[in-house]
Amino acid sequence: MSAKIPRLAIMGHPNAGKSSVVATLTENDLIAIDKRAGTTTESNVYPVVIDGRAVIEFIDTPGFQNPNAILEWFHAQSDKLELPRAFVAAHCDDPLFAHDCALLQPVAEGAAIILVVDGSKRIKEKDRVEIELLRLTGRPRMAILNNLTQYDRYTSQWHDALCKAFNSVREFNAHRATYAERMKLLQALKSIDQRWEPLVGEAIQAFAHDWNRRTDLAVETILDLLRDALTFKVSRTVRNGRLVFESGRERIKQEVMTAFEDGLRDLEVQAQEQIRANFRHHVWHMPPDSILGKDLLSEEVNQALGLSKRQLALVGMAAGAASGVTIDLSLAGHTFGAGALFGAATGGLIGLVGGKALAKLNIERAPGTQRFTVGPVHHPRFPFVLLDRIVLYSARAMNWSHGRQAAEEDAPDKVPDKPIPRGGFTEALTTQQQRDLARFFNGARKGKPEREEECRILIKEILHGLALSEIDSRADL
Amino acid sequence: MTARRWSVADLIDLEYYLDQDEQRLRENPTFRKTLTERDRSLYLETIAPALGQAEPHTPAHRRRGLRRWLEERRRSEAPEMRALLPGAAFHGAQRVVNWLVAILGWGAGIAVASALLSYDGTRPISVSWYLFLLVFLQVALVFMLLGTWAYRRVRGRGAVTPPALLVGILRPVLAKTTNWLQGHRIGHATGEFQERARASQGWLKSQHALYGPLSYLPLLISAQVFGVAFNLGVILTTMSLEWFTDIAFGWGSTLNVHPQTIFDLSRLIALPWGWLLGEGVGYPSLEQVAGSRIILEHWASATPVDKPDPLHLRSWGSFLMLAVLTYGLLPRLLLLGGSLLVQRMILARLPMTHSRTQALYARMLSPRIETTPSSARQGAEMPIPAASENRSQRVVGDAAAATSARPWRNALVRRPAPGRPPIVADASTGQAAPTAPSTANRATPVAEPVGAGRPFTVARETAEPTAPSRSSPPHATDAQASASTPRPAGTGTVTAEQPIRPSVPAVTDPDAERSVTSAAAVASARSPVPPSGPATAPQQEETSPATKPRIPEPDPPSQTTAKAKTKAKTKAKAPSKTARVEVAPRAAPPETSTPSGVDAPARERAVAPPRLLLSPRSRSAPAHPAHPAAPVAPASVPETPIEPTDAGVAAAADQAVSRPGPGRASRGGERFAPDACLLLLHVDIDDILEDEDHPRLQQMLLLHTGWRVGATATFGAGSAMNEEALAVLEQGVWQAPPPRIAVIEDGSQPPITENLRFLRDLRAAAGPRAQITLALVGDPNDEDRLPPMRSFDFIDWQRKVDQMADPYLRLEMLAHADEHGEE
Repeated sequence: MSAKIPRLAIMGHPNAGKSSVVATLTENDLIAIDKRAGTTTESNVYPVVIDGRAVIEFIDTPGFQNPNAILEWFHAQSDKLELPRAFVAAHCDDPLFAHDCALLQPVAEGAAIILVVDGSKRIKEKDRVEIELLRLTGRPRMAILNNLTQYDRYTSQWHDALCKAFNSVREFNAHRATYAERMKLLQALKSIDQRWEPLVGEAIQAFAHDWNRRTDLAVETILDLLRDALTFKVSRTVRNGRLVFESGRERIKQEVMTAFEDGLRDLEVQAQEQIRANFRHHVWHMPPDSILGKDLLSEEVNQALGLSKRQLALVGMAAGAASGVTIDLSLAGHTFGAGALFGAATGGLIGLVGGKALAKLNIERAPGTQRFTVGPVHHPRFPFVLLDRIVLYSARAMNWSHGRQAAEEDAPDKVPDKPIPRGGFTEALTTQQQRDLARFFNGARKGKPEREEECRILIKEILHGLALSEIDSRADL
Repeated sequence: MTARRWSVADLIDLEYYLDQDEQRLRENPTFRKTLTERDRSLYLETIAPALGQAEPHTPAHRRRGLRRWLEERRRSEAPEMRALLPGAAFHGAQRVVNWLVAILGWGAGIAVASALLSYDGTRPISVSWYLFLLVFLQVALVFMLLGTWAYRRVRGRGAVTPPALLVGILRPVLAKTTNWLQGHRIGHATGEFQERARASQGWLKSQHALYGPLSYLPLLISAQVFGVAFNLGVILTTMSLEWFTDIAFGWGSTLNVHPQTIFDLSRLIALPWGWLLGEGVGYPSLEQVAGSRIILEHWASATPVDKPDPLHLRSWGSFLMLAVLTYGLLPRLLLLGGSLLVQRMILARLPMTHSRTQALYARMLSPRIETTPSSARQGAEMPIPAASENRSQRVVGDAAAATSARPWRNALVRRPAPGRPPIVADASTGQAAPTAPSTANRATPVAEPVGAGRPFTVARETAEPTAPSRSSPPHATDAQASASTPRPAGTGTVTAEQPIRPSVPAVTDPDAERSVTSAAAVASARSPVPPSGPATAPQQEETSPATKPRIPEPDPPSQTTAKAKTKAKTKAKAPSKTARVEVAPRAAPPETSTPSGVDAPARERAVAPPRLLLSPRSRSAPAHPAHPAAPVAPASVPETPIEPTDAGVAAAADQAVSRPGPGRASRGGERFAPDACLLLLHVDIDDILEDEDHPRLQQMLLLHTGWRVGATATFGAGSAMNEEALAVLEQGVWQAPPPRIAVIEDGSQPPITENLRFLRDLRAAAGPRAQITLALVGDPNDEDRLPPMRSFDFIDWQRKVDQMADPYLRLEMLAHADEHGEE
């Protein structure tokens, strides 16, 4: 049984992105990947183990070090049947061929071949030599054009060159591969050798299952975050003695509010951690100007995400939530223009964001003490912003390829060809969906479950769309 | 079998376990992995086999699967903890409470009934009170219950919130009991268990949202139990009192109620059983009703005039009992049974789809995927070939085979040299034969571009005229010696140019002027070098010293003249500069051993063939016809063509001239001027370079190394090609010994052992002191075929080259990012 599982040796010359491809395929970002060449120095086996049973093995190999010599040796020994095995046998003691032997070893043992080439570069002599020598091995083989850039003028040349010697050729960007692309690539593995179909199919199913489960978990995390954030309160009891002076009172107020804001941020961070762990990321580089790097309560975030004022007013009224305020809001928006409103808000974090405070501060007086309470959030926009942000984060987590550790961020983005819808995810929803959300938010504030199922489905749809690239992931936000 | 059905206690335990998992997960997010593993293996090992053929993702499968899971979880619990599980506690509490309630109800029933039926023989018991308290009130309660239920049903909240009355009274009782029970048992348990058990006491709180009526049905059932027991108590008391004591029932009213009304009423009440038992037994007859009327004054009077018939007074007994039975006990029994039935139905149809159970179910069903390698080994770094005196052994035996196996090489040849086949044939003198074919294939494409570049380099060289002149004398003599022989060849070259020239003007090079200069320069500067070749002694003497100084600074016109001059002097010379010219002399060697004795053997080895091959090839056909004219041409050439033509033309001409020469042709034992080097071009670069790139390449090289290009060879496509490249080196005649070699490689890809091995071979071939400069080029693009490389890649190369520890090997970037090619 174990002898029959598909074994795929990922080959190519140094730095072609072999390890990235393996990492992406297996969702394992603990594979050492470096921009520098030659990070992989041994053939490492990365099995896909389903319920304790290996189903596929990916073998990450070091790069070719002496392709010309190997090819010539192959030619000279063309009478031999098992060229890779013969080569390994003949050269295993030669330190100069250590890497070549390491990488041909799996092939000698019968592994199929996935050649990874950098599709953004011209075809070089080395590449042709490698293509030829892999052809001579006679193993089932597939080629991956790993194009990390948008530069595709050589793509057709590559296709021409590769098609002659490979069962199938696929384009793949190991640094931007989404779930959908990953699955497609896995599907393509079936085409290498028909006998593998069942096992590869099983692996694909397992991956799909796993992905579904993780999406569900992410949705739960998001709903929990929303619920927690909307019921979050901070209170503090202070003896009257400390409140004699106005400054003392102000300080307490300030402290309570800071604690409240920090609490909200912490909630978000916790949820993000969960989502990240959920999608198995250990390594994570955030683009420095991402909206996710900004403070949750900052003006930029507030402007970039959430509903537009008009939508908010509509939804708010329909949901019967704080309609007075929302009417005010919509009127104000039309009367003074957005500039004035937002301008006024830039002052403080808790300041008048969109004309309304984030949360109210309550002071209860009791004999000898006073109790300061902030929260829960009643700003109507806030939950939408929060939701947008966590969905954005999830999108990052889902579509962040595991092979991307060493990605160069200056490489042009390959993803968006269609115009990117401006703003958050919630803004693009239908009014009915927005209303459902608003209802849910209102319910959550009161601790009542309302429209929870609808919202769960809604968020799941969003995440699903993101995974399949049906919904733009707003990678530039 | 027990694991088949769900009970409320099971649900409570399920919730408890889910809660527990969730809590741990919250404390430690990495716990998720453990959870996944645990649930999946539970499923695979015990649950799935138990479920048999059931289709996953069906409600039945889900219910039974989860039930099994719960069973397994309970089993894994410590035995002393099992009884403390909230489910078990609840179950116990429910039993206790039900008993308690039953006893209470029973007691209450007895108490109420006996209070109502206390008869001291003086005044009959009031039927109306009895009926009101034990029948009407109970019926009203039942209707109230149904009413609320209907109302809530209509409002659509039935499933969401439990009835307040129940929750208000019974739940606390139940909770208290549970706590008490748990507390009782906890008394014997350890502290840790107490903690955990306490944490699990809060179970019934949030569940109505999840399980709907299930959260209050147990309470409802307890209530019904109370009702049933109460009614039983009442009935039994009534019965026993009636049987064992004599009780008189009567009715009375202040109002003037006619017994008929009472009779009608009681018949109405007795409808359910009246048809069976009939008047008199089932309900009192009119007569009995009338007879049991109590008129207080009658009773008060000491001697009752009209003593009621005791039979009439007793006649109500069975009616009352049946009324309680029908209106008290029966509805309660129905409610109890209904509740039990509903509870069971709900339990049997639990969807189990709320998020937490869904997550659990998904964990059980999703195959567990692991992709972590068992061991990521760290092998040796990329091997660095060791320095060696000898060249590495080729793995290959048969060069021809290797060549033929690279069909793409042929395809890449852009301008196949027309004369190739015949040349090869000619060339096949001596040892050259074996190499020739392979060379033909590979070398040809290269030759031309390289040639094109020459003129440029030449221009540079003018700057340092000294070198060539110095070295010239010795060669010159050699050359003279052989002069006669070489001439044909050499002249051939020269002449060839002449014919070409006219056509050349077409070439509108942006570099025209420059090339002019260069051409001029070449002419002058070169002259000394080539001397060996075609140049005649007198000519040389004139040229070398005189021209050089002049040429360096000239503007176009002067250059032209200069050129003209030079040319006039040494027609042959111009070509000679480049390897090609030298070729001529070299070609001679075979015939006359005169040429510099030093290299003689080598030269002979290298032999004319290559040269011959090259020059004609690069030159292209026209050259050949010129041959006959050769002797004449030299003389005439200088004046005629050059002077008339303008700068551009001249330049072009020079280019043409030089082109043929420099080509790799030099194979036959190239003569390298003291400032000339051997340029080794990697095929990848060679393949893409256009003619016009060569000047730039040479210029850049000059900038870095100060070397002109003496000869060019390509390498990188197989050992045969490399061998040839090295042969050019080995057979080369170095005028200022340690050889100078410039290697151009593609730096956009990291170095591999192969690259380093070639460098080692090169070192072995060139000798330990030879100066090798490795210049790297980036990945070519449209605008720039010799672009700068990324510094990141450079560092990569640097590291590897440093490890080679070769002091005479220099690593350079051919172009730097800031200066884009054109200085």
